[in-house]
Amino acid sequence: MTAAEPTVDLTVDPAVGPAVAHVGPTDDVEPLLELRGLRAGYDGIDVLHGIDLVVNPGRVVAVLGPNGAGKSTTLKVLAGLHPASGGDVLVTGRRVNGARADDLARRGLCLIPEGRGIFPNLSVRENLWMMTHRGQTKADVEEQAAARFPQLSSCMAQTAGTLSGGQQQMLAMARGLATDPALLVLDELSMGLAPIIVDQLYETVGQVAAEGTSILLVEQFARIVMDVADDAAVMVQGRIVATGRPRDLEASLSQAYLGG
Amino acid sequence: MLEHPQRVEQFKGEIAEMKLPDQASGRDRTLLRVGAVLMAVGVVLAPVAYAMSHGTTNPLQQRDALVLAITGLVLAVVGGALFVRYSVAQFLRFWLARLSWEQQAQTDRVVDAIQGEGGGTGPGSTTGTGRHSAGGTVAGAGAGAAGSASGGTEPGVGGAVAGDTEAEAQARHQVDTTA
Repeated sequence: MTAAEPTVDLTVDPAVGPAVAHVGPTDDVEPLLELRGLRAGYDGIDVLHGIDLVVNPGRVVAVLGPNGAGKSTTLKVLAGLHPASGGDVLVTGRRVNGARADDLARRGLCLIPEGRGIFPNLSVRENLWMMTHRGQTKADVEEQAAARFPQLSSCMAQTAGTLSGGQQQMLAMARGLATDPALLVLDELSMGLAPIIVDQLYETVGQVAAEGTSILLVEQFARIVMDVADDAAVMVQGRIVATGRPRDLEASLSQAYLGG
Repeated sequence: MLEHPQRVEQFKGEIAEMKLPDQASGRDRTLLRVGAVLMAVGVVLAPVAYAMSHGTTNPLQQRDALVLAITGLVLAVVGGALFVRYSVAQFLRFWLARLSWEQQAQTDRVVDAIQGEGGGTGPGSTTGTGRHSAGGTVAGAGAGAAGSASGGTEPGVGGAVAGDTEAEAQARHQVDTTA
């Protein structure tokens, strides 16, 4: 990655443990995405209790944590799919709380959701054609997808719902990448997939990151992202409890997952 | 795919231009609707109360109708107030924005006029601002220095300066009268 080395600023609240964490460099780079004291919940019950997170341009930041930690909710809030009950979501320095998800997506904040979010009744080709809103032609989008995922080129006419899980995830990624995202947000890329497919997908994530696209990814299976992410944050019960380089967080991860 | 820094700049620009919904406007809309509903309920309650009272000789029932009618009246008044308040809120916001814009524009004109005259301060104008030759017409504000430098007399109030627009002349007039 090209950006400056990250620094870790871990503020420890004695009452609840290390609850406020900042990932990323502290130099003059304006963050692409910044969450400040983000709170959100369902039916009046908060599940995020003040998330602070920074994604700088060109960095890959992983949010790790066990099931139910609030990782996906965080992504939904920053992508405009779920309202924040407190705190701020800043994209390139502008507070975008309340912005519509489609407005953010059209401008380059691309979320690939858990469950892939493809149209199962449409063909692979038609799914890709949906992503021509930034001015690309249909042929461009197809060409890009085939170049990135050769396995998709042979099944362009196939109905997306009949693809294997791995191919569906590839299609979801191809669709996201076709929009030339400035910030790619990946939710549980590995969910329900064979390890060999997961490796392939993360290889692609690495390539995309190497091209300079900023990536925020959420993953339950922490070890998968160790080689891809520049920075990581461990999230437990709606709080970020540790941040730093992924390799430095192994102890925190064990604690988070095993509740020690 | 665009090069990364270029894409980031583009993203930044697009996010900066993005229109965000005003969260307060949602609340305003709700209160506007509540106001309209209360007003309607109040208006409906009045004839209902009248019918109730008219259809009986029982004074207890008539008193109930009286209470109902007064409640309707209160609802109509409160609803009307809410409705008027929030239906004109949008207009008031626009009006306020326009007022402040006009005030800013006026201030800018005055500042421009003052700066224009300040720019004319030259040698020999130490006794004053170098403003204007006597009631005369000078070519540009800076030329006022010549007037002052040559022992120019006091400014002619409202004296026109060649090249001024009507607005500038008005602003200049204001400055002169203030001075």
